[in-house]
Amino acid sequence: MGTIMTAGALLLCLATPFVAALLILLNHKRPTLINTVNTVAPFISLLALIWLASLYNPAADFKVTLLDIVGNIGITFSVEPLGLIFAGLVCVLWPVSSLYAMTYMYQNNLPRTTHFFACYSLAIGSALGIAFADNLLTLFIFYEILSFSTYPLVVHSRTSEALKAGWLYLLTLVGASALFLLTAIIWIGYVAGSLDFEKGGILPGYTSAMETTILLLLVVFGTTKAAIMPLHRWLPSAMVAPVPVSALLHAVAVVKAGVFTIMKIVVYTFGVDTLTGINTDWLVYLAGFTILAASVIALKQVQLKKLLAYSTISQLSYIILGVAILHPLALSGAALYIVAHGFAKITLFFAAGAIYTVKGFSRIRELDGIGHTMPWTMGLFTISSLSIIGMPPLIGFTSKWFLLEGAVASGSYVAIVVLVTGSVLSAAYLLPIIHRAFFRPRLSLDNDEAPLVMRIAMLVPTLTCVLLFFYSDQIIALIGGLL
Amino acid sequence: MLRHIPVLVVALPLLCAPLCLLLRNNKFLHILSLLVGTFSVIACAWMLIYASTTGDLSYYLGGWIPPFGIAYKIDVLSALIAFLLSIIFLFVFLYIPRSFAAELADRHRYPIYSALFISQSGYTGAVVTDDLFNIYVFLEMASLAGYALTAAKGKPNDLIAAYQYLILGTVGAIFLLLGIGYLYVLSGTLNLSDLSLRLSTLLDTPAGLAALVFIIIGLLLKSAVFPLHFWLPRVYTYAPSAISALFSGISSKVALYLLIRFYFDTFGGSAFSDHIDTILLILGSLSILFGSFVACRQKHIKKMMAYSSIGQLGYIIVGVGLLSSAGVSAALINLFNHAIIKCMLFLALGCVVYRMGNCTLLELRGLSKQMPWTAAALVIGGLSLIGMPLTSGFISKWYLITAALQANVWLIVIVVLTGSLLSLIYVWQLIAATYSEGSKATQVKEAPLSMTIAVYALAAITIYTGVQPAWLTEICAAVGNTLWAQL
Repeated sequence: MGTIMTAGALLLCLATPFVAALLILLNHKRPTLINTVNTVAPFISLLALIWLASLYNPAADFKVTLLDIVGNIGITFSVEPLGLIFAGLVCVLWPVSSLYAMTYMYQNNLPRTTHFFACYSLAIGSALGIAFADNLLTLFIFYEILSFSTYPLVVHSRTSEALKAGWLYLLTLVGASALFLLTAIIWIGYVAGSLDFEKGGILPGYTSAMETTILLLLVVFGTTKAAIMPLHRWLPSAMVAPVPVSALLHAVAVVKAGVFTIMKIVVYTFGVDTLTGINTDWLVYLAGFTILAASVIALKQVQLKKLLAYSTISQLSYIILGVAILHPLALSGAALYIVAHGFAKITLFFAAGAIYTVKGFSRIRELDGIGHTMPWTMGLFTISSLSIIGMPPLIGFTSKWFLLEGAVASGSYVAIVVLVTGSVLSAAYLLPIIHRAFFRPRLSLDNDEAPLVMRIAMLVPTLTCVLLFFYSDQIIALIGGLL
Repeated sequence: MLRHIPVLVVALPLLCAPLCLLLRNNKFLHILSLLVGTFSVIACAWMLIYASTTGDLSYYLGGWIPPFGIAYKIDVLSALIAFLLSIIFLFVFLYIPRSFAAELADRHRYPIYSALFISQSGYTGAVVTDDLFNIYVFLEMASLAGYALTAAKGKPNDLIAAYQYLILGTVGAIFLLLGIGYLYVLSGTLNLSDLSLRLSTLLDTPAGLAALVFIIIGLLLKSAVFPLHFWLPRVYTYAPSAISALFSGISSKVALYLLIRFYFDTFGGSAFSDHIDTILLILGSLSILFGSFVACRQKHIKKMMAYSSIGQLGYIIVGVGLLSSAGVSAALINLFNHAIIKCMLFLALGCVVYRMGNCTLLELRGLSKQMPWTAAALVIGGLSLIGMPLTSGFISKWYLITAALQANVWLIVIVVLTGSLLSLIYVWQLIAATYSEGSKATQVKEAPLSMTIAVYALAAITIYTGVQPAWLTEICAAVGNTLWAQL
């Protein structure tokens, strides 16, 4: 009975975005209906996820198989802590960003709303598919659907700049995954005879250290959604997309799907113990380099969205770093970081979008004194920035704390140095904006705050950042079960 | 009655061919072709089911027992290919009336039907027969019809393409004939099953090697594998839309079927095959890289798809060259899926030509607004060519890479993946153009229903095979195991 309920909750949560996309496409002449779907569907998914989380039982071996594709490997879903955390992030932010996106699209009079919202829902659905995937094939299928469904969103404006960005986007995301990730998957299936995600990994005993290293390289460079340097260029250029896309997809769903994929493959396919036995320092160096280099590049940005994009690249590598340290504490920190960064970064993007909608500003030097005219927006921007920098009492602090503890416990000095320097650098590129907003003389006199819906959309994730700080032990307990 | 089905699938179209010349009524011919097409699909499906459940199906023409008479033998392999042919012919028949109405004068259409029936009879015959000389005759019959079909529109470019095709096709046929002649002299029999028994002791002779080389070269030329490909792009570009779809689905695939048949069934277990398989691997890899690379540089979409075909044929050759049971079945999976995908893409491009008059990247701009269904079909076909999951192209790639890993040929894995990266590049030019803002002011409607149905029927097969590939992979694995067991 419990199994059937769990399966029902999971499929409801997962199917809602796909059904919503279909409904939107079929009713492209009825804007009211589209708006209703956009408002209701996210909440259905969220409720289903809450139901699913309440039914979750770590001891039960639970799987739903939809169909078999190659051999007896098919589209299979299951519930495990990491997936639950990622799905939670997506499901909480979908209602918020859906409301925000509707306001943004109509306020800025953007065309092609039908396709926009259909692709938006599809992207959410595929992110959830990645979260619940029970084997590498399912993960890969939804990974690719996510790439293809977000492409139309990147090229939404159809300008030549957007098309160029879209091409880079597709070539990097699909090209690398088809080249490297798929090879790794087929190779793993060939040597291990299975593609399932299992506690402790499925590779132990099948591969030599050399083979494992090559496989890990293929996975890391095949999962370009994680935007590890040097395959990060697609992310800043994808910022030509409308703000709601950059916010939910390029700060949360798509990029988190990337790091989540790497994390899940490391934990459930390679097995942490296997990787501890071989040399994975290169991954620490690679992630460390990305953190520092992307932060330095962020310092020089003039466009607010571009700055946030480089900040995202740098923050994503914290998660990769947490995985690369291969210590339980660091892994908990990495999982927590997925949530922490997701909630904080989406607020920053929403704020950028609100400023653009109300004032039409997109450059940083236009923000002088904007904190006086838009106190809500900039206030929430400030709190979220502090979370990203790692200040208590915000979840960003907790996640960094665990990363640091993991780094200390495993004796990885490079990681410690990178973590500290990275925090300083993130303060260096975020604080000047806040200073400019509140302590410079205001440029315009009219007091026009962002629309109410947008303010609510920024408030919810910011509050979550605060709340999670006090309830983070629950997430840690959830993750603790898997190591 | 059922006993006669193997001969009926060959004889029925052949009988219809002269009938076309007698009854010059286009509407009647259309109905006739649909009836024959439907019959073939049902008959071939029955043969496939029979062969895979009960066993080989044999038919002795005139009751003469081989090796004295001509025999048809249908095993799972030939039944699968015959089934593929019948599907493609049926949907091309469905597509033709509207498509030809735009390209050919009414009075020129009945001979085309005649040629189509001859081609159907010839290709099916070459697949089901168990007789060496029969294969040559049927293949030439189909090829001659093919030359005529290429030139159907009668414009200068078409004639040049047809002439090139004629010359090179004939050269290929002569190679094939020489090989068959050598085999006959060596063994004294023309029956394939008989031949493979007798050859086992004779293959190490220089004559045996020469026969194999002649046959392989002849078939590679007929199937347009690099570097023997140069006739293909012209033919696919200038033939009428329905005909290029037909060729892309059939002509090279039958030649490759024969290659698999000869290589494994007839010459199986020969001592010198280790050189040939390396050559096949090299040729296949070059074909993949060359075809896909040149496809990226094309502006004319039919030409792009033609070069893409050369690349995709390479995957099949590579599968054969891996020389393993998994390799052969991967080659067959690729063969079947590519035939369906490419035929569908050419039919969809035919819809574009039907409305726009041409199909370069320029005509495709803004297509998604004007012909949304055709544009969606191009996307489905394109994604399948790249090998995206949930389409049949993914299944092809998956099994081919697994086979290459099993055989421990790393270079092939790299080549296959590079090929799919290149295919992403050329397919995306097409899709991006389709979904970009149209510069044209002209308004066109969606393609006629019968044409769209034909396209979507094949698209449905592509997606069904991508989601539920078990029926195909099991058949192909069975074929692979049987062919391998004989070695």
